[in-house]
Amino acid sequence: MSHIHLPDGVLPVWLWASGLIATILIGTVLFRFIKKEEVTRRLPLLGMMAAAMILAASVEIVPIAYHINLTVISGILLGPSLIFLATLVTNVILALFGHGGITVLGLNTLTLSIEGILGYYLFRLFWKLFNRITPAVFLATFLALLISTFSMIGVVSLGTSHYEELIHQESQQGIFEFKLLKEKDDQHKKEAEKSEVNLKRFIAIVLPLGFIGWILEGVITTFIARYIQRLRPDLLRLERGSS
Amino acid sequence: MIQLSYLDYSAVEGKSWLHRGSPAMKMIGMGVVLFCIVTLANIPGLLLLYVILLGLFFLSRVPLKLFSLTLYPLIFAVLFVFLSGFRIYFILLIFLKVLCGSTGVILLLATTPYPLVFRVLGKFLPSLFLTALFLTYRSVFILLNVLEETEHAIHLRGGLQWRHPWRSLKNISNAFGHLIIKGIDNSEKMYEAMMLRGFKDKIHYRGE
Amino acid sequence: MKPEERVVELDCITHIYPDMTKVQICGLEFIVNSGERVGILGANGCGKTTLIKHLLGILMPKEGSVRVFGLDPVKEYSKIRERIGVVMQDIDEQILGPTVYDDILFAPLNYGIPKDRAEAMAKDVIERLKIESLQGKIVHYLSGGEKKKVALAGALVMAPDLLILDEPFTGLDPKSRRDLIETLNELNRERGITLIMTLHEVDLASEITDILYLMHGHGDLSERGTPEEIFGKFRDLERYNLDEPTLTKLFRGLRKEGLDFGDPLRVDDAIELIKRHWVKATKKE
Repeated sequence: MSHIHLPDGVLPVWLWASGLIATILIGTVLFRFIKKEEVTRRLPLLGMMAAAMILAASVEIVPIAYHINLTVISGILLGPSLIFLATLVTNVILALFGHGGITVLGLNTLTLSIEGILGYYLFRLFWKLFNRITPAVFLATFLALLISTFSMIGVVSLGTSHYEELIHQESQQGIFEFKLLKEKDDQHKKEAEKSEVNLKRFIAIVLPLGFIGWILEGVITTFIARYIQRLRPDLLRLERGSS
Repeated sequence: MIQLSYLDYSAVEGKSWLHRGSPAMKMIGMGVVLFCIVTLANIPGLLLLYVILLGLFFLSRVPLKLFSLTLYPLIFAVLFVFLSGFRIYFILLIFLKVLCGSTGVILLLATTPYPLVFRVLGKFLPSLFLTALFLTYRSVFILLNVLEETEHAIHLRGGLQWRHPWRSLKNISNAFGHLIIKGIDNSEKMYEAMMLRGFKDKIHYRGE
Repeated sequence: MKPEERVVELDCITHIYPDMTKVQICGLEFIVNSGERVGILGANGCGKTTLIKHLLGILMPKEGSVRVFGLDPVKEYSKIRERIGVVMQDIDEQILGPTVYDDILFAPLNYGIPKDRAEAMAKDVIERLKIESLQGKIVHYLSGGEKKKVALAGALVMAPDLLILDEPFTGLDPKSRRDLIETLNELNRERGITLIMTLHEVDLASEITDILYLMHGHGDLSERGTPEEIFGKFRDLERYNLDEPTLTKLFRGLRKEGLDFGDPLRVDDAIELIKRHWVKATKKE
């Protein structure tokens, strides 16, 4: 749910451009500071995990085009810096497949990588607290997705004035241009009142859908983590004995 | 399911004039489309753009199956219906922007093999990032085989039955777990192959 | 045997996998001399691929020694890498380039060979393997046999002295198998390339190897000999989960019936022997 499937041209230029610049800056810093040998060594793993995320985005779990992200489990397996790079690569390829806009690439990467990075740190925290895979992974996934959904809502809300402009575009197009002046003024007032962007309604739709998504992805990610723990516990890099 | 392999296959096997066109020109064209989507805020303009893109879509004989891919993002554009207070104008505007964007990008990728797209991107992107893109794209097809076979196996053995949602969910999760582990194993073999073949920092490609 | 003629020497190595499985590749010393075609026969899971990975420096032995071209492959693989071509069992992960042509150029360009020379090398190997029609193709649309050819091209482009193949015939149809055998034999004959391969197709062993090692259990290298020695005299192949070659079974069966044609391992040799006996028999009449 946190993956912004916003189309191009809806968000204001300053917003998506800032997202792109921030992503490029963070990506550059990461490429510079992670040792080149480390990145090279982990490139195939990054590629495979990004591929897994792309395929997860292609599989409809619930037939309202709901799909899981696999970002949290990828974050747990890859670590915070590589998950950022993996989500960037994932979003570039998904954008080329028409799954998400091109201009919103930066914003998508930022919100998705929040999931992965938070997922990684929350998992470490809850693992230390509970010493059990199930609550650690479920809570980490649930909270990471909750926070990234709110960040997505935050991003959308930043574009409110832009949406209002777009809505007002209609009245400025001269639909009522043949009316008398006074009526035109009244009409403008009514239009202005009606055309307020209704963020509350948007949030009221996104949050319940999101909540179902957080639970579902939390459950699925937990099962995946338990599967991995059974077959390749070394991948989870758990410190103490697990149950 | 997004038919990734079908999209890629169409790009490789298609023979229309658009398929034969220069990848750089097509990407510049996509850039123009994006520019129009971002700057245009009137319906007639966007409608014209969409009609042009649709025309190109059908003239270049891109398989109709791929047309549904262009409609997929509309599902999420519906959220904007709730933002706007059900203003028809705004909804139409958003839907047209969505359709122009998705049609343009699907048209690009359905008529241009990915190595050529990445080759153009390679002129602007750092080589390590480009290598990551190539490896990821390659990995998608390796894992797609695994995913399809796992899906078939689960289906044939009754693992997906909606009257047993909990068990089905567990089976789907295990399938993804299997995919991830297979992916990690494959990545280790891929790394071995890269080192054995002297990989330093980039995958070279024709026309570089 | 002069030391410089020895390409590979492996002596009783021990390896422990992450799941704590211990593999000891012991018994006979594994030696490969220059220009030889050496096969390692054994059932699944006996340690063939583990042995290969030690030769390539991918795995480090806990005990024992491995020498390839006189060097430790774990520490000094970069010094011998250009002399070794590899075709692993899992082809998909080995083919890295976006197109076939890009993949063949992968190693030469990585080694800093100038582009025009690298392209000439690629052209040479493409012609040799007759894969001109595959050059521009994207890798994931190739059949299994085509992918194998591409992997082989990628391994041969540097004109290696040693070619290591892990189960190269698995998954190939009979014609592709035949083509591959001819190509490998030609490379060995004309260029003197040393071949090391793991396989469990006993029927092919006599056509593609000069020396066979039998491996069983977990890394037990227990027999070494020519295919004639291994299959002709040695009867205990069941211990290795292997079946006798078809021709061996046939001629042994004929011998039981009083028709002794000898122990040919190749179809051509069998035809010759039968022809000779037939001529002799008809002359007697």
